[in-house]
This record gives sequence, C-alpha cells and structure tokens, in this order.
Amino acid sequence: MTEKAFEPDDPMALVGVIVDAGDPAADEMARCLVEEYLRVGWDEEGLLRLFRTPFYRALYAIYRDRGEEAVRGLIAEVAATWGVWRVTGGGPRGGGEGDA
Amino acid sequence: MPEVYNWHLGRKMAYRFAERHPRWQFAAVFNINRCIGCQTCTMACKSTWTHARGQEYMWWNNVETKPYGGYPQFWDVKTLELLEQADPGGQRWNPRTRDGRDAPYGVYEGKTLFEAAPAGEEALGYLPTDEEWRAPNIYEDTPTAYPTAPGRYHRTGEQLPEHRTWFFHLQRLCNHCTYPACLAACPRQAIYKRPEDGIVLIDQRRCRGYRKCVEACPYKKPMFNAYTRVSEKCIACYPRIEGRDPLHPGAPIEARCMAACVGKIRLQGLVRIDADGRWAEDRQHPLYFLVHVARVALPLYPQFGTQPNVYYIPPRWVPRPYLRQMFGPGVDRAIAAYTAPSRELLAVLQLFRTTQRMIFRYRIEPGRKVFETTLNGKKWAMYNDTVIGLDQRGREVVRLTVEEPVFARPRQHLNSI
Repeated sequence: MTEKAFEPDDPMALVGVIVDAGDPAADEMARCLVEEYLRVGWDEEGLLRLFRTPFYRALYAIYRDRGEEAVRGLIAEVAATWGVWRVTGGGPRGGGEGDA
Repeated sequence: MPEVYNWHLGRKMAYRFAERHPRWQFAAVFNINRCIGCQTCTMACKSTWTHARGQEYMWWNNVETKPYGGYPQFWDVKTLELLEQADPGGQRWNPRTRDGRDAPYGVYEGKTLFEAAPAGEEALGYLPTDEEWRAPNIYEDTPTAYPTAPGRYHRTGEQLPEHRTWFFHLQRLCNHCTYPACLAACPRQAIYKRPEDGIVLIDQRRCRGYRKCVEACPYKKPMFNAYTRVSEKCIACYPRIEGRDPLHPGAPIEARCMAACVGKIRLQGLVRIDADGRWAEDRQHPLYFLVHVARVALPLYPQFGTQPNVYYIPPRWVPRPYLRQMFGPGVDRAIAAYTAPSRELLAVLQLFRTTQRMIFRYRIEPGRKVFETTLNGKKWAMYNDTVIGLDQRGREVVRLTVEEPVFARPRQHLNSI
C-alpha cells in the first residue's frame, strides 16, 4: 500500500481513532524524556545536543517549535524536581566523595 | 481442544496442545520511556542473522514508531480488527479480579486469537502482503506518500508534512511466547519450544514453507524465505544464551539486540518456570521483580492469548486508552509505580544494559539519602544505594550506585580506545 491512496471503505486499512494531540501532549512527551535522561545521569549540554539533533525527532520537534530558551527552561524545571546533575566534565560529581 | 492456564489473562483458554512448560524461559523487559529509536538493536540483529539471500526484507528485531508505524505495516491494527470482527466488543477486562501471580491484571473476558479461530484453523490471523513487508519504517516520519520510480527522487521530499503529536518507539522481536500461535498453526509440527530455555525455533528440515506460522503469529515475527522456501524467525541468539560465545565461555549472555542497546533500555535474562507454567517465585531476580513485584513491565497485547515473554515499561506521556489496549489494564498502576519509583525500583533500573552477562539475582546495599522532593503531591526521597548483579552461580558481575557517575569522553578523544 506504499503508493496507493487511502480508501476509507477498505476494511483492512487503518482504523482511525481520535487521540489527544497538539502542544500539551508534545510538552508532556518532552518533559518525560528530559526526566528520563536526567535520571540516568545526563547533563544539560548532553540533553541540549539531543534536542538539537534532527535525527531524534521527539526532542528536535520541541526544540524547533519552542526555541532554545524554552528548552533550557524545561530542562531547568525538570532538574529542579529531580535534583542536581550527575555529570561534571570527565569525573564523578564531588570527586566521588560522600557515597555510602 | 485442551485448556491451558494463561496468567496474563487470569484464566484458562483453549490451545492446540496440552500444557508442558520449559524449566527456564527466555524473557526481557524493555523500557520504552528511554528509547530514542537509534535502531542499533535492529542493525545488530540484521548484521548477525539476516544478511543472506532471501532475507533481505527480514528484520527479526525492528523498532517502529507508534502510533503510525508497523512492520509489517498495520500488523497490530489488522489483528485487533480481526479480533473485533470475530468477537464484537469482546476485548474487555475485569480488573476487579486481580489475584497475585495467577491473575495480576485481572481476568480477560473476551476471546483470544485461538478461541476466535475460524473452523479448521488453529488461530485467527492473516498473511501480510509483500508491500506491507517492504518498508519497515514507512510513514513514520511523514504522513503521506509520494510516487517514486527507480532512479527518481521527489524534489521536495524533505518538505513533506510531519506527524505533529506524541509518539513513541516500540521495540519488537519474537516474544518466544508461552503459547506460540506459530507453533500451534504449523501443520508439520516443525516449530518447537526448547525445554531448557523456552526459545521457540523452526526446524528448517521439517518446514515446508506453508506459511501458516506467518499467518497465525499476531506479532508477525516468523518470516518466509522465498529463496530457501522455508520460514525463519528470531532464534534469541541461542548460542549466546547457551554460553557458547567465546567472550564468556560457559556463561549465558544476552542476545545481540539486547547487548547492543545504547539507550540502556533493555534487560534480558532467563526466569525459572514452575511446573504449572507460572514464573517461579524468585524475589531477587530483576525480571521477576519488574514484572511481578513492582509490576512496571507489561506484556504486549496480552488479549491475543499467546502469553508473550517480552515485557514493556509503557511510555508515560501516551493517552491511557491507547496504552490500555496495547498493554492491558495494568498500565495505570505501572505508570504510577514508574513515575515515582520505589527505592528498590530505582536501584534495579540501574541494571539495564550494564553487562552482557545475564543477571540472575541482585542485592542492594543501602546508601545515604541524597535528595528529597515532592512527586505528585507526595514526599519522595532518593538514596544512593548500591545494586549488585549476580550471575547464575551467584558471582558478582556488575556493581553500580543509583547516583552512578557518568564519565563524558573529551571531545578530542570521542573515538579513542
């Protein structure tokens, strides 16, 4: 069916359903993805690189639509909920001290 | 027809063969929330197993972008539609009947693909067309097609309209089901489930290429090889599972698609199976914990009735009705548990993709509290616990903390060894 027009009366074709879409859904997706990568230890620069890369469509679409300032704001907002960064340059945060 | 117990459905169901279960079962948990769709798993599988003549269209592992994508195209929508036609309005659950390991998601009240099978067939299914197999990621980036011809490119193809809503990447391979539809449908009994690890294989000598497995499997993972004229499917990298990989002789290691995941979304292992087919209670097994204790990982389309053995942590941002249809009624609980993870869950999530060696047990050494916040109106604290993964013989294979430091390679040495 790659080059054929969609036929609404074709019983085997995709059954359309209405789903929540638009800005709120995309914002929620971006917020969740930022949270995921913060939780595995990514830093702000690493996250911004993901946002800026067109191949990572979910984040790039947000970056393109909202702009870099809005993305930085989103990352800061999520970081405030989940704590501080775990990546600092080439070494562990705080020089590896304080871990139990 | 014999009756077998399907704990995903919380009830008995009709199946071609009587119950007989393996001692261990190949199983995996995929965290959809972390997948960026890089297709490294897909290429790891392709370059290992399906690069021969007749296998050109085969992607034993594929990653499709939902809700638009599918390989073969529309595989799940078509099967859901067939089930709806056979049992109108039947895809319903009764979640009030949840009961521990026997019925963790409640009881499914509709028909399975086996129970909805037409006369003379073992399972309800269909054969995808050649066109549906042709392009594994068709329409995922753009919602419309454009006419092409050999050697011609669309002049403004890069300007095609995009889907502008939520989406997520769904990682798919053979589920090595407990009650495989492919196995039930094979008229030659060429498909078998190994007693040692539950891996489902096609005997290439017995298969005569009738494609009943391709038709019956709802996940569409058996594929017909037009060159050898027999069907093939994911073999779960069984030499690695058997410990025959020279990297770790004697130690079972993860399949190629699992070991290659750069997003650290996959955790694969072997779980012990009781004689009655339930997962043996194994509290410190990471997969048992994720599926039966934390209950954050759910089967894909459990209503089909095959009791698949790949489990998914559902994506949090997707509308719930869509997720409930895809992963059953356990979705709300799974997302709640994952969004504000318990201390133990946070530690176990660290084990994903940290070693190729299979982890059979874990233990946690408590660490100090490092952070406090409020999640969904409730206090939540993070502890820097240490999680230790152990192999089949109880030897330590990996150790890491919840606040595991991440070392960023300097830009000038990105590809240095």
